[in-house]
Amino acid sequence: MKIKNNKKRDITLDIPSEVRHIYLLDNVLAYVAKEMDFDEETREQVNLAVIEAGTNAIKHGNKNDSNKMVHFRFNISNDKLTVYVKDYGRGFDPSNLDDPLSPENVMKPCGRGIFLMKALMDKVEFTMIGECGTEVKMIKYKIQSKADDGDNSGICK
Amino acid sequence: MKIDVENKDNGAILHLEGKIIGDGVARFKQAIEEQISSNINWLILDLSGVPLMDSSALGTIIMAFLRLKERKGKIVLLYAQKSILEILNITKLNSLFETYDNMQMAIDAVKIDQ
Repeated sequence: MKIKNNKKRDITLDIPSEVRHIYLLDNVLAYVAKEMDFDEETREQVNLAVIEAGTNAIKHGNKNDSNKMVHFRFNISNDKLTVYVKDYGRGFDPSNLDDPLSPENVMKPCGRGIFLMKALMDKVEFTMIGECGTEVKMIKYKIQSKADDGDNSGICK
Repeated sequence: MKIDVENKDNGAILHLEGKIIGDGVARFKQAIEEQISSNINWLILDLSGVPLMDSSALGTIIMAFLRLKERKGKIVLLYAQKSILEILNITKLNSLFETYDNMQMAIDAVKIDQ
């Protein structure tokens, strides 16, 4: 496991593909949320979305193979947090997923992870890197306080 | 993650503490499986100490809901925190699961259909 925090306010975390390491991810997310000065609701939203992405990468991307790593990068800026999650799986078609809200799917135990990521973050993109894996990019914008942004525009988005 | 089981009549109350994520989901699933295998008819999940659960944990509750329904049993959620209620709302699972803020009301709800 490796955690790096450089001067560009990029934080990286690499974990082997075992779900027990999700608790370590959770701890890093707490640190990232503190750095971002997110409000409680936003912190909870980002926390769950990234945990869903990490769990998907471990289980479905790397098939729980502990020899394969999952890479996380948190890019912190004044107005937004950008999170990258990369695995070594064969990818999938994100446009071909069941809608978990449709009546025929609401009782299914699976299939809500990506739906939740999209619902909780402001932007979610999937990039298939051929045989080299899949990368998820997620963005959460920060709601600026009036004191922070110097004007009365409110949401910086 | 900590799970305390309180058996009552023909059901059980699971007092849960901590985030239900990562390998905590497997422990949560095992605890529920053990109870359902012992032929109980109702389950109350005390979520007062659970600030977060992931979609796999939600799936585990759905499985318990379906298995208990087969035997005309019931599962309800007690003391769900705001963050959990929000996820139930987003996923529309609030239409499936009954939630209570009062222990006696939760017990009455699971026993009324027995």
